[in-house]
Amino acid sequence: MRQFTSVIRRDLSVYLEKKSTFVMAIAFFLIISALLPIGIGPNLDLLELISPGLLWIAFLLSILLNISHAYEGDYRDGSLDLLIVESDLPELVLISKIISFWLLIILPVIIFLPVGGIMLNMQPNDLINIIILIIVSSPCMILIASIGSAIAIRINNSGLLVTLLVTPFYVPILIIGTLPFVENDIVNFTFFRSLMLLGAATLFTLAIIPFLVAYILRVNSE
Amino acid sequence: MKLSINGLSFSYEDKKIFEGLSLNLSSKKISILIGRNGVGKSTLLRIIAGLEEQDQGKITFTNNSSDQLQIRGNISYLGHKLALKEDLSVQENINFWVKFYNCIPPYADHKELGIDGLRYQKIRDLSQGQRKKVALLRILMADKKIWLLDEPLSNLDEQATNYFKNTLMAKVQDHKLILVTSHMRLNMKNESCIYIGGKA
Repeated sequence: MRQFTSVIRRDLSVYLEKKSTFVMAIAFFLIISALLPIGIGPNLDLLELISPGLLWIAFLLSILLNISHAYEGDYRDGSLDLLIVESDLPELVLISKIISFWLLIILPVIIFLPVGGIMLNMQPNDLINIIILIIVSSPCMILIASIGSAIAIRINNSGLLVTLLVTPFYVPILIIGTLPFVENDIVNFTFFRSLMLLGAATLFTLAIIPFLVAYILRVNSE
Repeated sequence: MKLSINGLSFSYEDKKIFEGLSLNLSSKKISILIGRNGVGKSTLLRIIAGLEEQDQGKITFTNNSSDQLQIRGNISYLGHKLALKEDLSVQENINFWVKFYNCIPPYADHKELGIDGLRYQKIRDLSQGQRKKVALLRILMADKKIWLLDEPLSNLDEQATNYFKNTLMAKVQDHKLILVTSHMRLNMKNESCIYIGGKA
């Protein structure tokens, strides 16, 4: 547990030292949220109808922009070797890296979700529900992305490759996350059901992926 | 303590690096792995550390009573990459290791290695030699049973080199199993040279 907290603290110091990473994520999210309504035009009803999907997409894109940074810095400076070789439980240390990434990259974007929601003319109730769904599912999204990040770790500027690897796995999350906001007679998907499914996905990935990532990193480290 | 390597084979991209390599390393002597560039010295260290997987062969770590010990968790590893966070200061890096290894900050080693005055400088502002000194401080702090050091004395000034050599000799007395790679002999008491790929 001592190693777990020490890695989180150090990562937070590193991220805070180079603020550009999380400022970029917030800026990217706000730019997408601002451009989408302009592209759709002055039809507020249409915007309100599709705003949950748009907010999800803006959030996903801002994550994908940064996800390749999850292990890149540690790989480049050799800290990853140290964490794999010298930590008592590498899998736990990898979870601590996911947590620090969530705190410094994802959480700031989540804080700005209401701003994006307002720009997309979203109803307050829908906005609250979508923020809850994103909070619950975001650890799952980072964990999935961390597999891509671990696979592509030896490749310079691997951002695009990680995006291509990871995006298909985000499709089910996007579908489940947006279904409660879709009005139709075919699927009656409640918010609660969506919350349960995304929560289950997060718990499942949390149990499996750290071990998988530790293995990939061990095999993939130079 | 003994580290035994038996019948180790390793290939990298169809190139055989080791084939049937067997070594016995003891904590009674500092083992110096000597060989030309590219002969596989660093790779051997990485295999022992568990960062590379051998194709064949077995590595065992035993204590004086021949009980088998876990290698994982007992290793301090210094590779070519020094595991220093460039955006943090020397002191911040040290603070991390203090918590990570649950150890006491080695103030005496700061002075002897000549990094006492650098504590508040960012790693990115240090020279290669100064960075190496900070990285060596981590090895001293971790103080594990097995030390795997990849060219630890490169880039060091004379004072730091002598201090670290003396420290290695003291640590062998303290039953640490030390394996160091180098291009040449280090002329230390208790050193045992292992040549791989023929004499350099």
